Amino acid sequence: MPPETDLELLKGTLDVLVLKSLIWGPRHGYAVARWIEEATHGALSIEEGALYHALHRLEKRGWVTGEWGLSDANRRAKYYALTSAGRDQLAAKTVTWTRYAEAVFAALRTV
Amino acid sequence: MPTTLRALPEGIRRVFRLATRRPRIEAEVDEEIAFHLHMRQAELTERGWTVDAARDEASRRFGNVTHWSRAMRQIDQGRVRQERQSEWLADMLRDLRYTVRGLRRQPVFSIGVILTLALGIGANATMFGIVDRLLLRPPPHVVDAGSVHRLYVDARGEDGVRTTQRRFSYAAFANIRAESRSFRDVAVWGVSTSAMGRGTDARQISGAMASAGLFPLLGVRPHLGRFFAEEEDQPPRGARVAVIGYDLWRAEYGGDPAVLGRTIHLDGSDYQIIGVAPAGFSGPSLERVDAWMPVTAASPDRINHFIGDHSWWEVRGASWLSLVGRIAPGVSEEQAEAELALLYPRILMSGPDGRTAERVERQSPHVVLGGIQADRGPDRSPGARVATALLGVSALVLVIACANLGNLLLARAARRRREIAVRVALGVGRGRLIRQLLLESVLLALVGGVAALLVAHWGGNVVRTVLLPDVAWGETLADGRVMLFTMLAALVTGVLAGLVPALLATAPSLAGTLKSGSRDGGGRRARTRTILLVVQGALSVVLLVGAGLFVRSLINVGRVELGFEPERVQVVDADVFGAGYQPAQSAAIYDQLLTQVSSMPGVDAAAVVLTVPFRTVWDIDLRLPGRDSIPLMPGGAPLFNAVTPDYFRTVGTPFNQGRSFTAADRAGSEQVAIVSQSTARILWPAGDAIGQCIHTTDESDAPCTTVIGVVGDVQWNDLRGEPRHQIYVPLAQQVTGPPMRTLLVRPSGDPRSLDAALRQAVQEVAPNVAYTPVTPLLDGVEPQLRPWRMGATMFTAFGVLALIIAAVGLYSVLAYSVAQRAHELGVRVALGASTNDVLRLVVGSGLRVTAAGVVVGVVAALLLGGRIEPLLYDVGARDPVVIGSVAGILLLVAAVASLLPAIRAARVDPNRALRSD
Repeated sequence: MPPETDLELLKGTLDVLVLKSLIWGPRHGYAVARWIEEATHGALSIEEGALYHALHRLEKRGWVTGEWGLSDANRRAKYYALTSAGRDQLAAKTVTWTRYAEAVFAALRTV
Repeated sequence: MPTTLRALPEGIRRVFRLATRRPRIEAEVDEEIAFHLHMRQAELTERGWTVDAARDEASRRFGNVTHWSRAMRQIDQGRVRQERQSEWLADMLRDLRYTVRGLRRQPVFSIGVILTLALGIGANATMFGIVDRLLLRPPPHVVDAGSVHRLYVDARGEDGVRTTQRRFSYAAFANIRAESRSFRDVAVWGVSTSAMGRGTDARQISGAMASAGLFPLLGVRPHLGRFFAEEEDQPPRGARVAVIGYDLWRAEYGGDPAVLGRTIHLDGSDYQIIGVAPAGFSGPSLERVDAWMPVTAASPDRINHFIGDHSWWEVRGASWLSLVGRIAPGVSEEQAEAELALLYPRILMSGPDGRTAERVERQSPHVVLGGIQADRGPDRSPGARVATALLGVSALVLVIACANLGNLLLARAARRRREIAVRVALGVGRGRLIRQLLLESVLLALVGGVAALLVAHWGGNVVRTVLLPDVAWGETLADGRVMLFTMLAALVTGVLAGLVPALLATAPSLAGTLKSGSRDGGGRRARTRTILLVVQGALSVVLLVGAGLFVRSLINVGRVELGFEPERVQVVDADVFGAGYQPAQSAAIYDQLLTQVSSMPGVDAAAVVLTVPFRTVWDIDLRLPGRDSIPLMPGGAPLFNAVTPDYFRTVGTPFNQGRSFTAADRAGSEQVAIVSQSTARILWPAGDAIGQCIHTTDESDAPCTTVIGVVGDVQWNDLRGEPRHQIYVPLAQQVTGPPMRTLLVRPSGDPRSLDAALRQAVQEVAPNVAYTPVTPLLDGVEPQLRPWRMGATMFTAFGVLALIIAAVGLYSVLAYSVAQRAHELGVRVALGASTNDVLRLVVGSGLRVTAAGVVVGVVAALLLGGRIEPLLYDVGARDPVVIGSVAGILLLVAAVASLLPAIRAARVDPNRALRSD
């Protein structure tokens, strides 16, 4: 497990990525995990348990809803979907994150 | 996009509360994780991993399953809890809105119910406030009241009857304080009237004497300054320092902090003000106190002239102080009483006027501990007993109001049967419906409760000032306990009244209801309504019987032959000893005063006396020559009075036989006496009382006192008192008893018209007397009438309230049932029933229910009668007149209440009734 301070940063990162992963429609946890893997080219090495933890956390805050459905392989799976509050949250977080990343990037580029 | 087939919609799951169950949450989390691991493993094997390696890799990537699943479960449980709460709140708000809307649509119903409850609950809150102050709560500013006790003596009198005394001598206090190990400390106090100021500026206040230890014992802190120090409170004469009451400080001194050090003139002496007591402080009792003086400063003035040559702080025979003690930690009340059982007789046997061991043995005095609350302990006042009974009575009123509300709700619920059935059919759960119906009654009750606070505020003021004026009530309006009690009573009322109707209305028998419409009332409901009506009727009977008994008691008490006319006589109480005059001077002063007042215009008659009926008592050992003992009367030892010749004419006691005293009956002339009629009859049954010889002192060689006249019996000290022997001697010949004097005046016109002139006369004759109260003789009698007056007033108020509530209940139920039976009545009319038939039918059913209530109520009243019998005067609890008239009144009211619905029933138009529904 990463140290505390990194964890908070990580949680924020994870939340925003999970929300992002759901904008194309409901997905189950595994699909979210796969999407993050691919989207970040595997750069974000986190335990997948933390990802589920994030999903449940977001569900409790009302940003996503979880409902049981059937997967392509006809197995019961829990599908998560963005709520409108979650959509707002994603938009807000995206702005903050972009600004933050640009600021850090700009700072690191100065000689 | 996966094909999502929703297994269970969220709403249904919530209705069945599935997600809320813990196992369900766990299973879902486990299943979710298992699905993930399965998918990952499948993906890896597809990419060429061996099954085992793929499983290990999937599990490694996921991390610690136990850890993550626990974390997820925790989050889910929190989420479910949140959802449930907000859902509950939303439902509640929706129901509340629905209920309020429903109630506003029927304002007459709502206002009627709220008023009924306001009166019912308000009656309870009123009585609770009073009983709370009298019996439950310690007096204000008493810290840790549980360990503070009042001390009483239970002893046998000379007549063999055990009585409870609440006064002690200073010597008894000092000795108990010095020797008892059971108490952390003991203290004395006594409240009486004091004169404040001098001459014509003087006025009467409530003054108290207290030992210095009283204040630390109770735990009270002064508002300003300090209380007495021990060294200021030492016999033979304590320091002239005073602590004034908060109210007096505000009223007299404008709340000026510079009052400390100023001088206040009390009972003829100057006292230095050293402190102000906190607001509401009245010592260990609830008597208002305007000024506190050290017991050793105030006692000598008050009692020195009673006790002859002894030192006032050493005599045992004079008791004028109440005793209070704080029990030591770890000591039980029984242990303290056991210690005092040994100590107290020893104290009585020592000292300058110590009693003989035989006398103490005969009296066998026991010190008993009582609670500090005003009316706990062995000598509770009749007022407190009546108040307690009335609290029970007000509870009955509330039960009636509750039954009434229940009945109205039942009728309403029946009217809404179809609505309820439809809602059940639509899937609204029974629990939710019950909650909705309960919400309605609770809401009504709570609004009623708020209104009840107003009733209690107003009613409490009336009861306090009119019926129990002697109590220092302290703060009244902002009384949190009464408020809490009121709202709790309202809540309980709402739930009780609403529960049965709600259960019945939602009983699962829907199919029938939907088909038959709202006409059929349903057997169970009809029966419940009838039972509630019978209960209401019965309780009303009980209350009205109580009211009748108290009213009769009050009438009887008012008619008691007192044997004198207290309403015609004024009492002039010049405190000559307090003003520093000696007994010999006092006699001269009163002689002169009598001469002057007797010749005053507007005075019919006047007399100077030793004791005044309903105020002071002196009893003696009466002996007859040649007899070892005389037959005593049940009321106790013989009463003794010394009077001037015009006494009997002044107070209006009639003469039966012989002559009255004259100016010729002087000291030195033949000793004469007048006895009461009963004394004459019992001592000399042959009717030859005149000329007999009696002895009024213990001295065996004293000359005869000859009986020269017989007067009517006088109820001396107590309206309910048993008869006692009564002996009068001329004041000029008084050889026994203290030198106390009081002037009685019988004005010819308005009794109060001469008050100022009488005060002026005292000023002229005894200029040193600080203040002379002139009060009606009736003032002594009045407080004894109060318990009955309170009982009669409150019982009648509650009884009438109950009757009105019950009548409204009967009316509304009949009106409802007439509306329900319109169809049936229509058929009857169509078949030829006359208006009279219909009237008889409806009124008859009302009377039948009421008659049942009357029967039950009369039986209950007979059974309960024994409990209030001790509070009644000269009327049995099973008084047939009262019970008969109550039954009559109730049936009459029932007939009237039934008539209106009956008339409406008789006007039923058969055409319309049969066509509707």
